[in-house]
Amino acid sequence: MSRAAADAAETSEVLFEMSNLLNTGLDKPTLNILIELCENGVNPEALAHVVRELRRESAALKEAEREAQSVSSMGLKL
Amino acid sequence: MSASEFRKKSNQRRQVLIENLVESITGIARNTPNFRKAVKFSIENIDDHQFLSTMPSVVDRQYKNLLDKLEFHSQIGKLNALQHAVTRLRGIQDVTKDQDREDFVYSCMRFLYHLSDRVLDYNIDNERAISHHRQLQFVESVSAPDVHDLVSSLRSINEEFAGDSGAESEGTLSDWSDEEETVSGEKSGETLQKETTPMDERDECEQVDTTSEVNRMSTVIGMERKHVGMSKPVDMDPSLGFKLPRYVSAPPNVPLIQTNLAIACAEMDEGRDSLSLWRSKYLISHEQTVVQQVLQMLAGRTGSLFTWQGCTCGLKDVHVGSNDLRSFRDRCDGFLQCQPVTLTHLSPESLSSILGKMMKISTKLERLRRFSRQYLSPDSGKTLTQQAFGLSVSETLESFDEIVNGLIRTSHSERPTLQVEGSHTSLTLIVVERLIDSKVKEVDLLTFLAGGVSQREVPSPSHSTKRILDFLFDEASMTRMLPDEGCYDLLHGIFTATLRPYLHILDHWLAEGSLENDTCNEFFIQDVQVEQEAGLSDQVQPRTSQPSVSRYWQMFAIRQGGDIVDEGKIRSSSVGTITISRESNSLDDFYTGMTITVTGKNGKLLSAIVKGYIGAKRRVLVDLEDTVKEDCLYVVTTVVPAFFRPLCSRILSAGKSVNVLLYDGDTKRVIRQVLTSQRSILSTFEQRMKFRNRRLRIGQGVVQDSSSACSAKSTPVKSRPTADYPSDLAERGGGGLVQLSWVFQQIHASTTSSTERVDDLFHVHLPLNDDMSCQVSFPDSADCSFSDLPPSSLRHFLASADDEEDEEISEDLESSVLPFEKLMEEALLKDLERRVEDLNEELVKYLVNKFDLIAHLNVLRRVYFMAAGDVLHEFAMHIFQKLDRNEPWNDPHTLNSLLQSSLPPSKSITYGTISAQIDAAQDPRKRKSASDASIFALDGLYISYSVEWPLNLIVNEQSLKTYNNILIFLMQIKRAKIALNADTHADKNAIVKDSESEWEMEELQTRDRIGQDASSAERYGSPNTKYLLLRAELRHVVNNLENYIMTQIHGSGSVMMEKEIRKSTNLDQIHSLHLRFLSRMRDRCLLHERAAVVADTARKVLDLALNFSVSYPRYKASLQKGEEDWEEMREAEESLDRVSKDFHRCTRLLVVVLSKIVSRGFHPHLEDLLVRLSFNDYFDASDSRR
Repeated sequence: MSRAAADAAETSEVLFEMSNLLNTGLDKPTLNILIELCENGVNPEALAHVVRELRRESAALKEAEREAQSVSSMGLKL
Repeated sequence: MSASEFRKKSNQRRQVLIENLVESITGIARNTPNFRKAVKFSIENIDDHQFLSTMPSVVDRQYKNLLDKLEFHSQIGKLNALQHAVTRLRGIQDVTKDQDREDFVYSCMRFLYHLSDRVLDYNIDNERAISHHRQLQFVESVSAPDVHDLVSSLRSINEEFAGDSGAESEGTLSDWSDEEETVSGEKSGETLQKETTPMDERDECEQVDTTSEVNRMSTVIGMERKHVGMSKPVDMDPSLGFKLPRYVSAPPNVPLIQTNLAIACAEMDEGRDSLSLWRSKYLISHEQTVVQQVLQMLAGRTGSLFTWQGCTCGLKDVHVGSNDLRSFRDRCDGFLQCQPVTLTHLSPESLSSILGKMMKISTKLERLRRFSRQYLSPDSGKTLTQQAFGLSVSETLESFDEIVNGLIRTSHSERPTLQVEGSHTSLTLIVVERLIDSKVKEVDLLTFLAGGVSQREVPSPSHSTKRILDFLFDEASMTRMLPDEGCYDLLHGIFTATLRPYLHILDHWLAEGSLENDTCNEFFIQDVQVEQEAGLSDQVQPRTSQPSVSRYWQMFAIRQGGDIVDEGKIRSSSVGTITISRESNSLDDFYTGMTITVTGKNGKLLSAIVKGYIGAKRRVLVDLEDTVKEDCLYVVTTVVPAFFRPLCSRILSAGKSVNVLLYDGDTKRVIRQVLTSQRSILSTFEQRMKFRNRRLRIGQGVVQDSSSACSAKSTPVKSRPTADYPSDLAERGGGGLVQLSWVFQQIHASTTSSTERVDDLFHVHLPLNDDMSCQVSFPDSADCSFSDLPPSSLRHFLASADDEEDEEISEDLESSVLPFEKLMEEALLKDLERRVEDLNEELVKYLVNKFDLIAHLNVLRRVYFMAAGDVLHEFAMHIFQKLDRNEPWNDPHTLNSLLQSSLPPSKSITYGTISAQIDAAQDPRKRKSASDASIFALDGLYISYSVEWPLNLIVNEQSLKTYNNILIFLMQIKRAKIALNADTHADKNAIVKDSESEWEMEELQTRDRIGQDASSAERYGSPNTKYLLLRAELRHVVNNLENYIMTQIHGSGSVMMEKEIRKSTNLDQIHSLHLRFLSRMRDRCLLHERAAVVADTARKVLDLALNFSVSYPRYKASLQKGEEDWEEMREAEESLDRVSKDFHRCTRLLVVVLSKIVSRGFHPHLEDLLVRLSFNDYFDASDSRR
């Protein structure tokens, strides 16, 4: 492993620990994607907003699915 | 690589990363519409930064500040209205003493109008608003007849001014808001309550002007008509549905704004017509129409306001979310609101809460209706038990529908009032909500039961029936433990109604030995076969749930990753080997039906596997080495409901006996012969059969026959072994009487014991209610043959059987008769006062926490009291230097730039706008003497500190005047002190430069200490020494004045005020605390108007100090010149002597006044000043020396 790759891995490790300490709930692959996006010139704050919104919306989506499932469990024809 | 190629590749890479990110976070599968939406949303937001500004912190702060202001505005508006309401409520009793009833009612109406329009239109806490509105309804219900009469009598006036009523109502709100805004800033001398309560003034004006009074009344009636809904609105066009011609219909998807009043008030600042614009955003409607639509929705019908939205799976563009992502959500079926609606007297939050609740209940009701219709439909293929459950749900819903239909009829009547709790009440949303509230629990329970029953459906009818009955029985048993009687009654009724078809089948089995009634194959006995060859033995075949078992194990195999090797045997690597083997059905033990053997190391898994079954027996075999375990599990495979399980064998034997009896073979033929030959025996047989039937009717109890031979205990035949019968029969050659008695005894023995157990069943296993057995009753078979009815008509049959249960419950409602004013007081006053307190606390919290009142007061202290030392130091020094040089100092631009630069930057708080002004219109007396050399030159300076609303309610003009007075006084002291110190420094520098002698230096230093000055003056006796002594005395007074103000007053006073402000409970208290603090500061700084003599004396001393600082250098300069400048030296000496004389006179006056004040015991803080000023009675002694 080259020195640059080792540095990148160490940085990623440190960032992952920081992320865990801050309870962001991000796993390593997601964090790597986010780091790469930041390196690609994406505004970090915009990225943070997007992550938060995606989480919220996916939670809402799952809740709606559960609701639909409970309705269909009543045996009603949908 | 060109730039465009690089950009293109970069974008592609970014898109890939974003797709990965979306997949990682949301878990949505790729190539689905939802995924594409999410990716689009992410790319758009990342590329365009749609919700980010360049400086988010600034935008956030400004936005927060704006919202806080709006919220505070709304709160203070509510507070004023509520305080006014409290005042009005307290005074209403006195008003009614002198006025007749009509005036009184009118006054109450106006009060209600004020309250509803001013308070309930605001967004308060939802529940509080609703409870308050309920109380209003209560009051209204008391006054409704009188109000109605008054309304009818004044209707002509109303119609005449109908066109003006809307504009009037809008105008009043806007006028009121404007008044509040302007008055709050100007009337600084009064308390906040007086400042922001303009309604009394307006009411007085109205009473003077008769025309406006008529307009006012018409407005009141108009509002009352909208509010109560007593008559049809004049401006309601039926063809337009909810759209009033006066208002524009609302645009779609208008979000409900919480601080509606605050928004309205904010818009009011921008233009006059903005209020109507605000109103036009919503569809203002009449409450009666909304009530009708809500009732239609509750009855399951759609209308112009609510529609039934079917379930849509997959994509649906609903655009609910702010960023379009939610648009791919799946939607469930339910009632939806087509268009927004607003009522004038309900806050949007309250209205949306009520309508949301109604929509939720209506959706549940409609789902239940569809559920019961689906279960009762002839071609649904449901079992009798399921149909009975559907029927019981439908019946429960019918009782609800009756209530709703009654309300619908009332709502369409000319006068929509109904009697609730003994009083007439208008049919409003609140009343409907209150009436429906009692049924919400039932609806929830029904929904839960429907869900539970539908979840327990399995392909096998018998298994499904068993699960449904067990589920209902368990729920009823558990509900009985709870104190909720209503839920228990409902569950109990549904359970007994659902159980009825099953009991019919059981009854038929016990009485006739046949399973004809079991048309849907749901009874736990599948078939019976009687074989003569085996000596009248029979074989009853119970049903098993084999299909579901096999499906369960298939699912289990898939979950475990195994595969089915052969039928009934599953091989799984993680568990071991599972072998399923069916055992032969044993009639004695219904628990044994299937054996599952697991051979493997994981013994714990077995218990987890069998959780899907109800009851099981387990046997564990462990070999000696404890390496291989073999678990055998006997799984329940019967379909007997849990509460029938102890009776299985009895039920079987009873039915079996009847089968034996009625078997179409030799025995039956014998019986028939006997029956035809012996009538008496026939009658005995019939009696037995009737007796048996009676006993099978649960609820009638066990009727003991007079013939004790029928008793099971006293029957001698019972002890006789049944195996003896065939030999007896063979010996006696088929003697009819003996055979018949044996058959009877057999039947009796079996049926008696089984029916006793059936009775026990409801006492042991259904101990739900004492009269439970009375409610579960079989219909008389003579009246109706259940088996003749098709399954679909079961509900008609069961419905006809339940007619007796429909009883109307009449409640004796009594209305308490109390005076109206007393009722209003009791109903409203407590709540209003509590809400006033709550609002006050909220406002204080807002002011202290959100608007940083304490921080602003600290800034004021630092600026005006020069508390921090460095604030305003440069500013003051600059002015002093200009004054000393006789240069123009009062240029506003220079002063303001100096002022801004002297303030230290602060990140924590935002300063108010500080600006310096020069007051040209000074007091002529002061202006006359206010030359630049005079101490009064600073009197024209005015430093303003403007803060935004609502802080300006506390930091107002009046308080700023006081602050400025203190500041000017402090600056005068500083100026005098600096002038004296500058002179001293100059002196010292001169001495050091000249280096005349060291002892002179020591002498100067010694003279600086005041304790030795008296003796030194006498010791040296030179004029210079005398003036040096005077300078020391002047400095002593000035320094002590400064120390006194800076340390003794400001420090302690401000800390105390901060503590008190944090403890205060309302705005008035904060306002008065601040004013009290300022007045205390002013008094302690000797600046009170009544202490003008003292203040003037102190200022005179400061002025003398300035004079001295001017004259003494002149004197010293002339002294150095010697006799050449004798004239000037004389003038300087005269001036200094005059200063000395005036100073001692002023000091003496100051000391005398202070000692008198101190001797009286007032102002203990002055004692310290007095001691410091006249230490050891120095000035008294010096006066006496002179």
